[in-house]
Amino acid sequence: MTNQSGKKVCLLTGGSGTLGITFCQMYAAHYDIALVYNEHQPKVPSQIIKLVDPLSPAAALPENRQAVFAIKADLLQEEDRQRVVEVTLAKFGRIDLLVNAAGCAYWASMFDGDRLYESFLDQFELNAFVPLRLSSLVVEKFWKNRLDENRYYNRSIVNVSSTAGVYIYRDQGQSVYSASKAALNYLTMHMAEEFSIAGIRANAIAPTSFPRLISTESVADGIYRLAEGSPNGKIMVLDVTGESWL
Amino acid sequence: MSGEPWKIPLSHVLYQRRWQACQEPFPHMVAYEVFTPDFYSWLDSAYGNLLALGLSETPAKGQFSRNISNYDVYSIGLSPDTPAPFNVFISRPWHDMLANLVGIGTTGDVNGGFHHHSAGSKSGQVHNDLNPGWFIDSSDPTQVNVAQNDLCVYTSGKTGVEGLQVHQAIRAIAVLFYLHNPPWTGAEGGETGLYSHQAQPVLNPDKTIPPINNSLLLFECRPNSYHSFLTNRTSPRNSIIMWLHRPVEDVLGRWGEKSIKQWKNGPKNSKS
Repeated sequence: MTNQSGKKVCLLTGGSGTLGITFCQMYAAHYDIALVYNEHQPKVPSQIIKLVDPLSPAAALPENRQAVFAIKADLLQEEDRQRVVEVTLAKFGRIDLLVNAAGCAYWASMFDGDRLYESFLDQFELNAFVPLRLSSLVVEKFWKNRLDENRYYNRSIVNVSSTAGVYIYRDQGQSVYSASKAALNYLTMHMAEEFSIAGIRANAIAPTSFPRLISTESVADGIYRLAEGSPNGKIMVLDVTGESWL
Repeated sequence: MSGEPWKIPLSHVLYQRRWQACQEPFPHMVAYEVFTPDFYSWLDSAYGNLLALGLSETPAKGQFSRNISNYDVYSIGLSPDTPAPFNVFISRPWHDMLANLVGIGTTGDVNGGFHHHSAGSKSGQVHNDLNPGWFIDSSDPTQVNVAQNDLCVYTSGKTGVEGLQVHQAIRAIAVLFYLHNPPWTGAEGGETGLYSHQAQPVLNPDKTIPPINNSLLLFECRPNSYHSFLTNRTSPRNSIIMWLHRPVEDVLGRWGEKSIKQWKNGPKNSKS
C-alpha cells in the first residue's frame, strides 16, 4: 500500500509547538505528515497556510512542495482522537509513524495551593493517557492484522517524554509533571511489548529542556532515528551531557 | 514631521521573504522578521522618538493623542509628509507590493497611523474594516495618495477649501505592523483577534496574532474579515496601521451597497 507521494506517513501531535514545527521543517521531505494542533495554527506550509514571497507572489516556493496536512483537534476529546486517525487514513491511506508530541506542563510546589492538584488529571490525561489512547486507535483502525506490512514499513510509535520522567529534579515543582512523564515511559515499555505482536515498535525520547539547554533539532533528529532505526521498548535520553539509552 | 519620498528598493530592506498566507478564519497573511535588523532598528528608534513626545488626552498634531472616538488608543495619523523611515509605508513600491500580493486593483489612496495602547487598554469591538474613506484627488499617479484629514475629513469628505476636488474609496487591504514592543512571552495580551462571526465574544477569537516586533498582519477588507484589538494586560502595544483602498464600484459589484460599513457618528477618524 502506498499513498500518492510514495512517502511514509507520519501522524504527529503537538503540531503548533516548537518541536512539531521543527520536525516538519526537517522531515517533511521524508514523510507525508498529518499534523495535529489545537489552539494555534502551525506555522509551516499546509493546506491552510502557504508561504509567499511578497516581492514575487506568483513564484513557486520549494517549501510549499512539502506542505503538511494540518488537523485541528482537541485530543482530550475521544471523538476528536477518533477523527484524527480516521481523517489521516482518509487523506493518506496509511499511517507508518505515530509521534505523540502533545503535552502539557504545570510546575508548582506541593505547598503552593490547589493549582498543582487541580492540574493532576489534565497533565496525566494529555501526557500519558492520550498517547496510549491514540496509539491504540491507530492499532485498532489500521495496524491490526497487518503484521508483515507493519514490519516491512518499520512502523512504530515515538512518545515524547522528558528527562523529568527519568530523573528527580530538586526544587523545580515538577512532581506531577515528572510522574506523568514517568507513566508515559512505563506505558511505552508496555506498548512495545504488546504491540510487537502486530509488528509495531514503540519507543520514547526523553529530552531535557529545549531549546533552552539542547537544540530542538537534536530532539527532532532523535525522533527520526527512533522511527527509522530498529529499537523497541527503549528510552532515548537527551541531556546536556549527551545521549544515553534506558 | 516632514520628509521626502522613499527611494530605497524594497528588496534592500525586506528580510524574511516567506510570508504566511492563511485561510482561516478568513484570508489573511502573517509575516515575521519583515525588515532587515538594521532597518527595523531604525523604525524602532524613530517610533521611540515619537513616543518620547508624550501622550496627549486631547487631539494634538504630531503627538500620540486621543483622537479616535470609542477606541482606547493614542494615535498619530500618517500624512504625505511622514518622514523616513516611516515613509516606506506610504511609498508606491510598498503599496504596489501589497496590492499585488493580495491581488486587488487599488486606487492608490492610503490612510493610516501610529497606534499606542497603554498597558491595560480595553479590547476593541469585532468589526471588518469594510469602511469608506475620502481623499483629495491626486494628480501624481507615481505616488500614493495619503489622506489629509485636515483638508478633507477621511470619514465624511467634508472640506473647508472651496473647489477642492475629492473622491470616495473603500478600504481594500488592512496592514498592521507591530514594533517597539517588549519581547513577547504570551502573557501580555495585546494581540489582534480574528473571528469567524461578528457576534463572537471579543475575548474568544478563532485565532490571535501576537504583537511580535517586526511582524505584520494584513488582510483584504471584506464582509467577513472580522478582527479586533485584544486588551493588553501588562505591557503597552505599539503598531503602525494602514489601509489601501479600492474603487467603490468594485465593492458594490462584489458584495453590494449594504456591505459597506458607513461611519456612524459623523466626522471622526477610523479604528482597527
